[in-house]
Amino acid sequence: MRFFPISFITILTASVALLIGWQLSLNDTFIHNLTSLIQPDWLSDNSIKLHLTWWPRLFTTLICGAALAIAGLLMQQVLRNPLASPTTLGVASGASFSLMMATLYAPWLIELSQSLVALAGGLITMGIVFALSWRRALSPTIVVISGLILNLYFGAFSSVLLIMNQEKLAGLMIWGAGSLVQTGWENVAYLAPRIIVLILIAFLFVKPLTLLQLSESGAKSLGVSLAKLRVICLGLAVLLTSFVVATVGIIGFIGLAAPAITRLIGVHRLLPKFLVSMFIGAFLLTLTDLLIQRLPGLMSIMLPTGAATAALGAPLMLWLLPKLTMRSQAHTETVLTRHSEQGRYLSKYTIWIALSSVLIGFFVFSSLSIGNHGWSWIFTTKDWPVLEWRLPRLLAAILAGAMLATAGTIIQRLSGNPMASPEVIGISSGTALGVIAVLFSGLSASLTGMYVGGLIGALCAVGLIILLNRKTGFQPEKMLLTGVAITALMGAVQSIVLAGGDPRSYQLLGWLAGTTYYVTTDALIPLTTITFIFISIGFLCHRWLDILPLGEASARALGVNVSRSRMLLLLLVSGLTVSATLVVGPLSFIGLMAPHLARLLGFSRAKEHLIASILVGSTLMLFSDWLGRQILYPQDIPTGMVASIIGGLYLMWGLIRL
Amino acid sequence: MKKDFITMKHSMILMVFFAFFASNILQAEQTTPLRVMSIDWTQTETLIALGVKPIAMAQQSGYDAWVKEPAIPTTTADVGLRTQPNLERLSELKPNKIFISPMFSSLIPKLSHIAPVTNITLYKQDNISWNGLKTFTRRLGDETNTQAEAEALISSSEKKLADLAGQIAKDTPPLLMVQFMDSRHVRVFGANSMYKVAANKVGLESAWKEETNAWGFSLVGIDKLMNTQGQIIIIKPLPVGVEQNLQQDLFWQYLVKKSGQPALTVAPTWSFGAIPSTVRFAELLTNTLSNKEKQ
Repeated sequence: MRFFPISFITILTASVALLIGWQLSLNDTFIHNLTSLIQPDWLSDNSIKLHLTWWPRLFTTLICGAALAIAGLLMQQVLRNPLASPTTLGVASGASFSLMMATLYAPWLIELSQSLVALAGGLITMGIVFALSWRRALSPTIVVISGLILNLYFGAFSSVLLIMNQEKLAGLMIWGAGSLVQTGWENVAYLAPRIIVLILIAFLFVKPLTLLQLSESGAKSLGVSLAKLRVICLGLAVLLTSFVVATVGIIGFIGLAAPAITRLIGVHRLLPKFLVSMFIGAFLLTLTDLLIQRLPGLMSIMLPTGAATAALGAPLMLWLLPKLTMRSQAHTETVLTRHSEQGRYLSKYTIWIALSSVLIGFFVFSSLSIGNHGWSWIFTTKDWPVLEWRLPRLLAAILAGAMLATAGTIIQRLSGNPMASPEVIGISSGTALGVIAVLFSGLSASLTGMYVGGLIGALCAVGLIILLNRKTGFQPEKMLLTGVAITALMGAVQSIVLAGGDPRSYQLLGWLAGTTYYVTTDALIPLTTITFIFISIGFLCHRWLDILPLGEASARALGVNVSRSRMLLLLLVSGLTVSATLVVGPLSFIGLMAPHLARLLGFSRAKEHLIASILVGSTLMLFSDWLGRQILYPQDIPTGMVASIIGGLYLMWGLIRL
Repeated sequence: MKKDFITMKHSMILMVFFAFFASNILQAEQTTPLRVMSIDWTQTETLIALGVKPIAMAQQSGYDAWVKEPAIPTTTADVGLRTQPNLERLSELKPNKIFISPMFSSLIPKLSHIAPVTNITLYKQDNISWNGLKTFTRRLGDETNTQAEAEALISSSEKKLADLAGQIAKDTPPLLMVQFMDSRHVRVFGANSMYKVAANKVGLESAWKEETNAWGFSLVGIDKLMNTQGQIIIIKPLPVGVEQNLQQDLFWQYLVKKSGQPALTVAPTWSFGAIPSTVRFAELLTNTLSNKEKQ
């Protein structure tokens, strides 16, 4: 095994050296090209191009790769989660969101310093993550989940800003995809000293981190303050990430892959791990970038390096998944479910109250609205034809809400993890990928085409989830991680598409945002039928849903075939999610939030839990749909976005209380 | 020469007058007046130039920021986002004809419940030329019974462009027309772009010969501009912070120096426009170039 790391590093180094050598032997003598690094010949185009664009780009990739690798390693080490990485903790999306806000509402901030704005955004996001997980002493799982929620939350807000200002934000999309084009030495001069200092500080913490690696309690007994260690190391990781993100944009995957590869090639001690992953990170990013620069013609810009690495990263993550051991996750699972175990007794009236609130909501929201002449009440205006537009949307919102709530309840009970949801396990992202493929391959821009594409995408995602999790008996954590990988792939593809500035991405954004807009009266009948069939099946499975949360051993003792029931329930969840996603888009949080609220209301038995969360989900969706149409009238804010914004707030509040 | 010009002008006025007269007769024949709207800014721009007052349009704030002219009539209502125009509002406005471009074709099933939808393509590969723009304008003219206005718009624009061509110095090098996305990336416009049509019409060439997309641009890092020689034209708006970055950017300075001409900036026009934007860009371009000559 000693031999393997060395050969891997040799191959990597050799390919980078080869590409550098090739580039330097083009157009001029090798020596001339090499000296252009220090002393360019100001009369030669080639020399100037090398000096001002190629060399700085090479150094930027080396520095950024190393910084991201160290940041990833620190996060993975502290959180003891091999899938933690700078992008999963929300730093990048926080930076991106703050840049968007500044561009639109405070351009003077950008003139002051773009990096500073991004840096502040990244740091504030991390601050929120810390605040959310503070009460659980920055427990690894809670930190990762907070990061995930913030990622989704900023994602929803950013999409709202984007569909309203796409032209103005076009430049930011390029930044978001991580293009590494350089036109001088400013970035290198800015990054190099900062990154070097931070990496040196990180090396000081190798020893305490080694103790932490042994065992948490061991580290504690040896006098290492866990919380302090976590804050400092995560802080370092965030600073490293923020500097990189602020100057060159979002570069996925390196922070995840470099430490993972290091582990895979058999480096286990911490100090060599630091050195090797730094090396691998730097060379991996450089190699990718050099290859992309060599792509013929204009393809090199169509494929920004940051997004390209992220797209490469997703398959790697999926490949790594079966190799992961989950021992560190086992105890956190119980921690998460703890709060919802207490169930106070509630009378049956609650359900009647909830049901009537759906009906009253439906009545109010379909009759009260802003129109051409301000607020109007349909019974006074007698403008009945308007209902033709309103009713299908509201009905679709109710149905989608109900389906997502059912799916969420099933998956949360199935996995015993209150953070699981159909959005999180990747089915929604699969649907979105299918739609992107259909729109941009030029196959079809029609609605049917998009639906078929979405369906195929979703089925592929479900196939992948089943394929990867069948062997492990559909272990909840692995299912979640599969989802994280699929979502990462979707994010990468989406940012490549948006960076290209193709006006078709308008349509894509509108759809991805999730809206009941396209629902027609004709579509309502099949939608209603499907909803009733799927939800009834859900109710038929209520015994499984009561037993499975008790744990695998007890379930088996009670005569349930755990693997098979999990698989069947997963298929049901997929069916529900696909149908709902095609109506309200890939992201809404409803599947996550409705089961939660139902639990909080005190319904813990499967059947009641299902009913209550369906009612809660429908009401929330109904409200989101109505609010989306009123709040920025005449702009029609997509239902899914409104639901995510409301839902995200609730989830953050829930995390604080956890 | 001067006299010719006056008679030209007179005959133009006469033509426009005639056109209005003709269209009045046509409209009188119709039982209901046309109530049209378009989701697409390029179509909105052309409709207004044809003298049609659309009853509605989408995302007016965006139009005002990016297309600017011709100005939206005060009677025109805003129906919100282009990706999802507000259907309730639109149906209350009772249009009887809706125009869209293929980009928004997913809206057809919904919009066709409100009024017949006409899908008109302008931006696609190999369609953007002066002839393509004329066909597009005539098509809209046919659809809104403003054939005469369409002809008048085309001929007055052609005359205007010919005038402008006369003001351009003969030795002007080909134009490298770019729009900055951020300090290091530009959309560079070439084949199939409205900007190139405008430049060609006033007797200039586009320096960018590489492939472009259906909207006539390639998105490139500015390092890719090194091998293209030409008068640099920066089309505004510049994103925030870009101006000051460019002043410090050695590579950009080098590019400008190498082109042998100072980089010129042109006020914003809609990059994906039709005849009105083309003429406006040609005017702004000519002004900028002739101001440079004077200095």
